[in-house]
Amino acid sequence: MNAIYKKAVSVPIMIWLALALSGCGLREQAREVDQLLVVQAMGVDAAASGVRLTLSSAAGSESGSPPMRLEGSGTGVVEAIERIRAGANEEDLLCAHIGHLLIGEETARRGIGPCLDYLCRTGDLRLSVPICVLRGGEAREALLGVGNESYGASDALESVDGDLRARGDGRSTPAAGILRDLARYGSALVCAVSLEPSAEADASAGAEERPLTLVPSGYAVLKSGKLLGFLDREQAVGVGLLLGESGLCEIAVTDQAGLPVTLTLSGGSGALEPRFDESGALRGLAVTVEAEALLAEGAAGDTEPEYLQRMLERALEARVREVLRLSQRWDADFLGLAGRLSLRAPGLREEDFAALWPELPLTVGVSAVLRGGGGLEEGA
Amino acid sequence: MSGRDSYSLGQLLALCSAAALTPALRLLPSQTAALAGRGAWLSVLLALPAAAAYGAFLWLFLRRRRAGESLAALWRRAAGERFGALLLALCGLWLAFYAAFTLRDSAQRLIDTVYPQAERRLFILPLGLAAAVAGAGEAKRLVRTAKLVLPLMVAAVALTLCFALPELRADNLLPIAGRDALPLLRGTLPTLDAAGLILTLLFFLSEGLTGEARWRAVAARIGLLGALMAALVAAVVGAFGHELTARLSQPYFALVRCLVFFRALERMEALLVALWIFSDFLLTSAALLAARRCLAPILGEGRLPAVLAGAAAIICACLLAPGTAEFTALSTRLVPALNAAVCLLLIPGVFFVGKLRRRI
Repeated sequence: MNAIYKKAVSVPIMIWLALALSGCGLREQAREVDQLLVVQAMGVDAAASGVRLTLSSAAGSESGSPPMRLEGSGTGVVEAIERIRAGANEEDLLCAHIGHLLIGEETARRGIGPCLDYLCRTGDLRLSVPICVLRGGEAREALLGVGNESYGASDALESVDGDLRARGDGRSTPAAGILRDLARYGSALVCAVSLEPSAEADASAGAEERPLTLVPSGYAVLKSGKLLGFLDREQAVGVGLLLGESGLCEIAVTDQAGLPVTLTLSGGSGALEPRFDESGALRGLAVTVEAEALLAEGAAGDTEPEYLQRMLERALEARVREVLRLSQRWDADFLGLAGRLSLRAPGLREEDFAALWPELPLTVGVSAVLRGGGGLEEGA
Repeated sequence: MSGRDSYSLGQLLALCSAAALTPALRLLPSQTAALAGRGAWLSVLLALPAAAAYGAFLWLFLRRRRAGESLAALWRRAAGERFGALLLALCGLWLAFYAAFTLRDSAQRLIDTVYPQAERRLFILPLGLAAAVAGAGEAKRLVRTAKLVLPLMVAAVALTLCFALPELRADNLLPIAGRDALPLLRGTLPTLDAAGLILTLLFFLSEGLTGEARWRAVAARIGLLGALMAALVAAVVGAFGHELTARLSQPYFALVRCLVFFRALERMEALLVALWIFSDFLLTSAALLAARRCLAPILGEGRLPAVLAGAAAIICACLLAPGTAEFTALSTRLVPALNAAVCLLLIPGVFFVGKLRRRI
């Protein structure tokens, strides 16, 4: 009888505990799947009231449906989301799967600190969410204007990510990395994108009527959380080489006859060698870049491979030098050189490097190998 | 204590190991990163000898018991009938308070990670009731539960650590130079805080042990848990960097939120947070069980001390730190200070008073 009594009491308690601990008691948070709008891209713009948010779902979140776009503003991101949630007819927002965060250029100039603070505090968004800055526009324009019935801004940003992974003249920049670099080096690289007419060809429509899409546009450089300037795609190749992340991107050079030749960079990496004086103080930095490329197009049969190789080395050196020059001019270690150097020379403090960096003498050396194709010898 | 309520050292270590995961997650990644910087993972390892030394001291204290003597009797013998019972009751109150704090911590974790607008009492009440029932029951049931839960939790942590490996960056963990010695030593404090609490629980729950209680087994468990925690801190700091880790309230779950498992599963943090309720339950129950034993000389044997401690813990947890800022202050200042006072002053004090009085 005692055992039966115990079971009669404990089973209902266990059921209640299971329901309560699983959160089933939170009626306001229990949502049906078919009522959820899965947001995949968020745009952040500065507004008079604080922040204007634009949200976009992926296309086909309901069968055959175009992407849904929502917007609202508030004093901060949280309030803006709540206002959008309140105004979304019958849809409840699920922000857990936001895959991209797009920030307008003007907003980035004012500072993305509040946006990054929100990412640190919220349990909704991942810290791995890539952040992009829209060059020359507002995030709202991109999220409302990109795509057509079958794709939207989130699909375009996915495509940008894939493109960057393959090409290496830019890279997706997760929020966690930006937060860390801003805290550690005071500056950070953020992927930049720009709005352009898509390549979709339609005989009945002119170029100006094509749907808009987002394309990679190098990097935005943040310093103390504010946009300092941009690196274009050519300079981004230099960043890729210095960070050892270069991919299959094209380098245009000319052959001995002055005709254009296209080389495809197939790999590259940069090494840093600090130079110290007798007292152990940092007195210079030697940057060495090694790269490989393939001949993609052009170059007559009588072109000397060595000549093309020299041209390639010059082109790459110019990109690398330009990136380092901007980094020094802006006094912004957006490449994280201090961290890489401190791994090579543990005695070197990151703070000391930051103080020396703007005036630090640099030597840059680039060696490139041109691989076969188009009449060139393998390993020439 | 009932002679039936006995368990092996292995079972008790399983209980303490599973319970340790709650303070470890609360304290280690963010606080250690804030104090030690990129060498946070090394700080965890550096704390182990001190933790082992404290454990060895507690073991030495336990060995002063005579055959069949309870821990309460040992304390009364060491510090005097009344004073010993009073000090033991103080320990009991501290443990009941820690049970309340654990309930509040568990609710805070659920609010921070999964249910941002939820009312904390919704989590405190069911878990508190479950822990109060377990704390009033036999310890052997609790240790058997821990024996089942521990492998599951360790496997979950190990799995997430494996998936976090590609996220690690060498410059987030290295270099560590001689000038980092002081921050590294400061960084041992959160680990010592967690280890001190768990070893204190082990001390008070060791009364029901059967068989040979080998110190080497305890030391080996401290080493294993320390290595696991160092790996966990390395994973979080290696992925986010110490600056960001120090800013996050739940950095481990933030890391899990970023992971994609087998290119198909993502956003698994809610499952893992739910799994941590087991650890919260075991820690709260173990603290209440230990509190009950400490309060027994004053309140008497039986269920009354357990009921009172359980009820006090639930009420206290509901009233404790209504906001996140208050909880952070409680978690980083008051609770570690009280824990240090118990571990460094109260328990050693009783031992040395007993020594001075030549009673133990």
